[in-house]
Amino acid sequence: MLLPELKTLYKLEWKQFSRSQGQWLFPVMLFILVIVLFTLGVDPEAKRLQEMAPAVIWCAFLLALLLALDHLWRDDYQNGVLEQMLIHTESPLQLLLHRVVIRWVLSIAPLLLCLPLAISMLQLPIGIFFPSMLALLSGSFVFWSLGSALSALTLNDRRPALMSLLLLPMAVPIVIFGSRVIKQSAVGESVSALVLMLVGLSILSLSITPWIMHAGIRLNLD
Amino acid sequence: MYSLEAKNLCKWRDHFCVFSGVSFTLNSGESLWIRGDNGAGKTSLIRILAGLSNADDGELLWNNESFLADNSSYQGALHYISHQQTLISHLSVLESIELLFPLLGAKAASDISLSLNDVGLAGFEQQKVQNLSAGQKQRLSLLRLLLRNKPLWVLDEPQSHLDREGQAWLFSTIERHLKNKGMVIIISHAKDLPLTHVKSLDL
Repeated sequence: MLLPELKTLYKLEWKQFSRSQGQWLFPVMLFILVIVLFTLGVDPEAKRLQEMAPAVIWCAFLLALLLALDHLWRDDYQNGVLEQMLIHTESPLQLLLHRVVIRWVLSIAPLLLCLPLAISMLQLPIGIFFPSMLALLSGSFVFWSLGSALSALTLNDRRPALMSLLLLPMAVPIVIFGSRVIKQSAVGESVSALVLMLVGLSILSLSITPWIMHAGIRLNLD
Repeated sequence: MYSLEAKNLCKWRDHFCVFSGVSFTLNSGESLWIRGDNGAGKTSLIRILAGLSNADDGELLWNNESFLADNSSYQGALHYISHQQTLISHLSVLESIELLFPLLGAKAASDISLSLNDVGLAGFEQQKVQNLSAGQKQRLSLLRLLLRNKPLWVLDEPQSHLDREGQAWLFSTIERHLKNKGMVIIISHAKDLPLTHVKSLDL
């Protein structure tokens, strides 16, 4: 894709985001609500909360992203914009990839802004913010790119839960590694190996999923 | 000079033959009117011609080269207007032209206000697409044809939602395009098309 075309795509995505009538707020609200309900539902003893907190943060985060993933392709598929974009670009893979990255950034940014709130509600030390953010950034990208591919493959499927049911089992390694990052950083242990593992997974997903997305969308258009 | 040739195109859907043996040749300055009842396969055919779907059998030749071998030059020469209006509802008319249309193969090269005037949307620049009437949305979709000159126009029911004046504008624009050695493939349920040099293909 040429630079002017990319600039136009980024501007269009930003415009759509800013005009989405607060659609971006729904995943944020889901994230906060899951954390609030959890803290209200269990014994408020700090030690018990801290034990469960890493898994809760990750589950709430991934569920919130799942909500955002639903709109990744569907709206533009239904109004015909997606098919027109694909036939008029010289590099459809690049177009899809950039779109996935832009939407990921726009979805994850408000969630990360809520992370300090979640950390304090779950009575975790605020020092875990930076390693947790790194883990959430890389882990969520793996989840997002896998979700983008599955959502492209199931575009024509009318069972709304299908994509979620296929995607959530794939999130098991992300949740395991990601939770360990939060757990280990809370007790001051090194987390660089785990974070690197998540970064490696995100690079791997980045190199595979654009082809699946493209094939999935073409399959649904045919 | 351009040429598009279809040889024995065939499309199946779930063991059901949508159409078969579709052949035609189209040269610069000619138009093809695809006709047929509902479900005859008009849109399926036009989606194959737009490169969105694959034929199960047969061959498409663009300038005597296989479509599959030379897909990019074909798609660079193509304007495809589908029966969907291909617009984003919360963008304004001007934003659609500046941000959406360049990604749909129609970057505005000339004065936008002139083109808006041409399609009867002058004064609606800041109006959101969701507030336009169906006819105005169709005019905005068709504006893509004017923003960038491409030889092959593939149009799926382009006159739907247009009033009499809008239809007159559309067909005069098509006629002008044909005079400039362009090519047009059009699906229409009209009884007659006010075009010269029109071939018809019945499905």
